[in-house]
Amino acid sequence: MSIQLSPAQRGIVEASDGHYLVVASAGSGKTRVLTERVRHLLEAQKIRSRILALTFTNKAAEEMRHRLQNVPELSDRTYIGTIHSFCQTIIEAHGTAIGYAAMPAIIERESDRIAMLEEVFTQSAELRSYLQRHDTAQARRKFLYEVLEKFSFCKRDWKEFEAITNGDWGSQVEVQAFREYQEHLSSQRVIDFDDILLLAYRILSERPAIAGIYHRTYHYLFVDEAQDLNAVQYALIRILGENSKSVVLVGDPNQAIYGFNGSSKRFMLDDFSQDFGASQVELRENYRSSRSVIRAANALYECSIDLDNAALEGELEIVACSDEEEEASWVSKRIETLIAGGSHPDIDGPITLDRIAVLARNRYVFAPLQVILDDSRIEYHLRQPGGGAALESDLGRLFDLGVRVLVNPLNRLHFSELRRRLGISNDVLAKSKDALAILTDVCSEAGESYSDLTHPLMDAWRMLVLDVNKFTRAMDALETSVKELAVSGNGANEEQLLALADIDFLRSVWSNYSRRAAKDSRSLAQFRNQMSTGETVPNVDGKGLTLATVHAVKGLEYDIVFIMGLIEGGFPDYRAVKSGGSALTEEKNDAFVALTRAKRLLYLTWPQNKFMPWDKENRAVQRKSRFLAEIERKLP
Amino acid sequence: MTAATATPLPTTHIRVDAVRIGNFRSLRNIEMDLGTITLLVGMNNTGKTSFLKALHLALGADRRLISSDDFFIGPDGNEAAKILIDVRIVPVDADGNRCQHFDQSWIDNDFGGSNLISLDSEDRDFLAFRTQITHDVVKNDFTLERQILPDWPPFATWQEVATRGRAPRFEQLASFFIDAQRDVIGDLRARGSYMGKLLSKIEIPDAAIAELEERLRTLNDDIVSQSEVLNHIRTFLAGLNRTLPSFGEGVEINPVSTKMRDVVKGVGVQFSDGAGSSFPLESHGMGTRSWASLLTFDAYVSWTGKLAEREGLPFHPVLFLEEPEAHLHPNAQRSVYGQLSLGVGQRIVSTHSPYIAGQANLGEIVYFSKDGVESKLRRLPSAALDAEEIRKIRREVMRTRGELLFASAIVLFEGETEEQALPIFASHHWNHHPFERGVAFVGVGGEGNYFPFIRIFEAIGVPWFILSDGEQNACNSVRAALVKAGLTTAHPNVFTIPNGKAIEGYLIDEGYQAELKNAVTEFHKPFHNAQHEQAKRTEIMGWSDSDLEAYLKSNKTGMAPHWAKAIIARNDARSIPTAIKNLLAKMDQLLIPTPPVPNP
Repeated sequence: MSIQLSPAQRGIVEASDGHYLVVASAGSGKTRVLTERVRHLLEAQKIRSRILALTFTNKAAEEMRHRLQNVPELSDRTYIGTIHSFCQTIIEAHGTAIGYAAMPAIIERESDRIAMLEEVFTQSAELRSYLQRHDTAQARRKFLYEVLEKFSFCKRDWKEFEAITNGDWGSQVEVQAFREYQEHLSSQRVIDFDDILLLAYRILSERPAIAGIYHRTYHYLFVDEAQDLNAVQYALIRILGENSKSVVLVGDPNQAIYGFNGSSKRFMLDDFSQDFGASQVELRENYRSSRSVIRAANALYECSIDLDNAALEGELEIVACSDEEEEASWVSKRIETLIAGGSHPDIDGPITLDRIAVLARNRYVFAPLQVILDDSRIEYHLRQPGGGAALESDLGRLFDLGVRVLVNPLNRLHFSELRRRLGISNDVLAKSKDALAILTDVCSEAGESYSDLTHPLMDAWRMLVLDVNKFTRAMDALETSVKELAVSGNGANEEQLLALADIDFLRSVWSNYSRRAAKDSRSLAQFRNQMSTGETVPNVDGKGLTLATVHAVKGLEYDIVFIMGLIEGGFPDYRAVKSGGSALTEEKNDAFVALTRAKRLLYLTWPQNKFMPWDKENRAVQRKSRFLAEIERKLP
Repeated sequence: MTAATATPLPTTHIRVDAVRIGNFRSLRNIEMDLGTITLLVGMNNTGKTSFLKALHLALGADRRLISSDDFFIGPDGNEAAKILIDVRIVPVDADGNRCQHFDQSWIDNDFGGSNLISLDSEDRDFLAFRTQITHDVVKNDFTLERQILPDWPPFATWQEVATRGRAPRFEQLASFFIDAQRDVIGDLRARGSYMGKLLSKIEIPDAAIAELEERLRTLNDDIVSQSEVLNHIRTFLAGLNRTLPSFGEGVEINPVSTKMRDVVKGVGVQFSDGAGSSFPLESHGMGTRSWASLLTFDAYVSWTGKLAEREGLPFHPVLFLEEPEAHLHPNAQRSVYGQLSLGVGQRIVSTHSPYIAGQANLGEIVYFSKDGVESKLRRLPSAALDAEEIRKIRREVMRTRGELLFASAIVLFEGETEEQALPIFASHHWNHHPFERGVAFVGVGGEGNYFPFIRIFEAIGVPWFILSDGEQNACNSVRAALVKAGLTTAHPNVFTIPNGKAIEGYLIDEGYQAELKNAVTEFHKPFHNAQHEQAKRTEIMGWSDSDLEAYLKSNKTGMAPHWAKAIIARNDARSIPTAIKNLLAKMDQLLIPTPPVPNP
C-alpha cells in the first residue's frame, strides 16, 4: 500500500534521531505518523536496534501491528503493546529483583477490588466502625468505592504512593486501610491493575542494571496517546527513554479523557519537553474524516468535529431499499463496484476489502448479507467484541469464576462470588486448600436446583485440572449439555443461546492463546491472565471485509463504511426506544461512533419492509431511523 | 602453534561458559565450565561423546537426534523421566574474559527478544536456558523444550529453578557436530554435509555464466575435432537429422558439460602430494580424507561467518568434534591443536591423542572417568598451581608425556634409576609390559618435584604411587608435597626405600652384591680381550660394599637396566627386591587385574 504523507507528517516520520513531542489534533494522522516512523526506521534507515512502541489500549497496539504487518521480522525488531502488558513482561522477567518469585495474578475488576477492600474493613476491629457508619449497603459501597479511588490515585503517582505508605497522605483510616489492603493483596498473591505499573517502576528504579537491559535493547521509544499519561506512566517512560536515540510522544491535548486516572497532559507538554529537551511539532490537518463524514456526524451533534481543517471531500450516500434482502444485495454490489474500480481520489492506494467495514446495531442484521457473501468471492469476517472476558450467560460467568478459583485457590473474592451466584447466602472460608475440592464443596452446597449448571461445570473444571490442553474437549462437553437441556425444554432459551455463544467465544480465545503458547508451557493461570489483559481476544486476525456491530469497532476506522439496518427499533434499538431517556442518548452516541468509523466514504442504508419468520405472507413496513432522518434534514 | 596468539581472532563477544546436565546417558548430574577450547580426555565409554551430544542438543540440534538410549538408566535399571541440560551464555571481552554486558550486536539480534537476558548478583549480563527432553514411552516419541532460566543458582539446587517462558531459536549461535566417522568423499556427495551446503551456494553472475558456457562449447568442439572417434560418432549420429528433422541442430557430443549448473554439481577436489602429480581425494588414505573433512567444515563456518559479517550480524559457532586425530600420523596429530585454536567461536573436542592433549593448556582439559554407571568429570586444577608448577607439568607431562593423561595408574619417583629399573621389575612381576595395564612410570626430576604430579593425578582421580629414596632429604620432600596437596603424610600409596638409603645402597643391604657386581662387569663391555675381562671381573669382585655403592651411584643412568635384568634373572623368590615387590603388590590390590579392554 502506497502511503501518501503530508509534508508535515513526513517531517516527523523522517526526522533524524532526537526527541519529539508531536501535538496532533484529531484525525491528523497520529497513529499513522508513529507507524510510518517505525517503518521508516526499520526499512529505510535499516536500524539494527529495537523499537519500543507503547499504547494505552490493546486495540491501538493491534492496529499498529496490523498496519506494519508486512514489515519483515516485525515482532523480532519491535515491541508494540500496551504499557501494562510491557510492564507485565518486566515483572515476569525480573520480579525476583523485588521479591516476586512468580508472576502474581492480576485482579482487574473493580467489583473484585471493592470486595477485597470490604474484607479489609470488616476484618479489622478498628476499621469496621468506619464502614458501619454507613447504614445502607449502597452507602457502604459508595464509601468503599471512594476509598479505592483514593488508593488508585496514590498508586498512579509514585510520590503519593510513598506518602500514603509512610502515613503522610490521607486520613489515619485511609493509611491503615491502604496498608492492610496491600497486605491482603500480597497474602493472596494477587496484584491490582495499578500495581503492574508500580511494580515495574520499582524494578527499573531500584535495579538500574535491569533498566540498563531495556536501554540496551530498545534504542527508540514511541508513545501514543501521550495526553493520557499519569505520573507513574510518565516516570516509566522517563526511565525507559533515558538513553534512547529518539523518544517520540504523540498526543492531542484536546482529547485528554482519562482525567480521573491521575492522568494529565502536563506530563507530555511540560515534563517531557523539560526532561528530554524535546522539540515540539504540530499536526493540524484532518485526514481522518472526509467532509462528507463530518457533515453527517455533525448532524447528530452540532459542530462536534471541525469541518474547516478537513482536507478531503469523500462521499455520503443514503439508500432506501425495499426490504433487507435488497439492502444486502445493494451493499454487496457496491462493494464489488468499489473493489473493481480499484481506487478513489480521496483514498490512498488501492481499495481493498480490509479497508471496508459494514456496521450494524446487532449482528442479526448481517444474516442476508452473509448469505450473499458466502456465495461470492468477497472474503469477510465477523468481528468479535474486544476487551476482557465478555461472558454474558450464567453458565459462562460461573465457569470463569471456577477457573479463577482453580488458578488461585487463595483468592477469596471469586470464591465468594461463585457462592453468591449459586444462591448460597452465608459467607464462609473455603475448607480445603485444594481448588477442585473447594469447587466440589460449593457445587454440592448449591444443591439440586443448580445441578443443570453445576454438573456439567464440575466435569469441565475437572477435565481442565487434569490437563489444560483438554480445553476444547471441555467446551465440547459443556456445549453438549447445554444443547441437551435446550432440546428437553428445560431452562430459559435466552440463557442457552448466550451460553452457546459464550462457549464459542471461550473456544476462540483458547485457540488464539494455544497458538501463541507452546503445548507444554500452557497453563490455566496464564490463559486466564492473558484473558484479563485482553491479549487473547481474537479480532485483527480476521481477513477481508469486516462485518461488525458498533460496539466491536470502537476506536477503529475504515476508509469505507456501510451502516445497515437504520430503522426505528433497529438502530435505535427497540428497548431504548421503549425506555427513552439515557438509553436513547446512548443509542445516539453509538450512532455517532458508527458514523465516525468512516474516514472517506459513508453509505447509510435501510429496508423499507422486513420479513417476519412467523408470517411468511406479509412484510412489515418499517420507519427510517430518527438518526437518518436528522442527517437528511441537516444536509445542505 | 603460535599462530593462534600471533594473529588475534575476531571475537564473537560471547561464550557458552557453563553447562549442567541431568540424566543424559551416563551424565546423571554434572556441571562443567567451558572455555574457547575444551578437550575431553578419558577412557572409552566414560561419557565424552554423551557430553558432546547433550550440548549439541541444547544448542540447537533437533529432537530427531534423541533416542531412548539417551535417558540415564540408574543402577536399579529404571529410565530417568526427563533429561535436563542447562546452558549459560556470558558476554566476554576481546581477551575472552567475562565482562559486564552483552555486545550490542547480540542484543540487536538474538538476545534482544523480550526478557532473555538476566543479571547475576554483580549485575553482569548472562543468558541461560534449559533444554528439557521427555520421552513418551507409549508413542515412542520425544519432546524437546527450551525455556529461559531467570537464575543460575549454585549447583546443588540447579534443577529446582523455575523457568520463565520459552527460549527462541538463537540463529546466530550455531552448533556443529562432527563425528568420528567423517569422510570428505561422502561430504562431497551429501547435500546436508558442510561441503554439500557450500557447493549448493556456488553463485556465478549471469553475465559470467553466458561467457563461461560459450567457452565450454568451444572447448567441446576442440575436443571432438581432435578425437577421431568422437568425430566419427558425431558424423554417424548426424544421420538422425534426416530421419527425425525435429532434432534441429542435431546431436551434440559433449565430452564436458556445457551447462554451468551441471559443471558446478560435479565439483571435485584434487589433492597434490607435492611431488608433481595430483590425485582425486578418493585415492587418498582415510587420514587425509578425515582431515580434509574438517577443513571443509572450517571453510563452511568461515563462509557463514563472512555472510553474517556482511549482514552486520554476530556469529558464534560452537563445534563439537569427535577424535580429530582419527587416522592421522603422530606428527600430523601434533598440528591438530594448532588448527583447532585457529577457529572462531568455541570448540569442544574429545580426543585419545596424547599429541593433541600434550599441546593443550592445562585448563582446557576435562578428564572423564566412570564411577559405577555415572560419569565423573574433572578439570585439571590449573588454578591451584603456580606458574612454575604449570610450566613443569607442561614440560614434564604434557609436551613429552601427554599419554600420562590416558594412564590408568602412575608410579612416581625422583630419578632415572627407577625409571629404567622399575618397568623391568614390573614386567617380570606381571608377565607383560606395564603399558598393557596403562601403568606409567614417571621420574619427577629430582626431589621437591612431586607436588604438581600428585595434584594433577589426585584431581583427575588416577591412582598414583610414589617410590621414594630413603634419604632424609628425599623423605622430607615427599612429605612436603603430601602436606601441600592436603593429604596424609602416612599415605598408603607412598613407599620408601628402607634404612634411609637410596636404591643402590638398599640393594647392597639386601644382599644383591653378586648381581650388582655382574651388572657392573657387563657394563664395562666390550673388553679388549679375555684377560682384560678377567682382570676387571676380579677387581670388581674385590670391591667392598662402599666401593660398589659409590660406583653405582656415580653411574646411575645406564647401570640400572643391567642390574635390574641381573636380579630378575635369578628367577626365584628374591628376583624382585622386597621394597619394589611391596609397591607392585599394592598396585595389584588397587588396579583391575587385567589390562583394560577398549569398548567398541
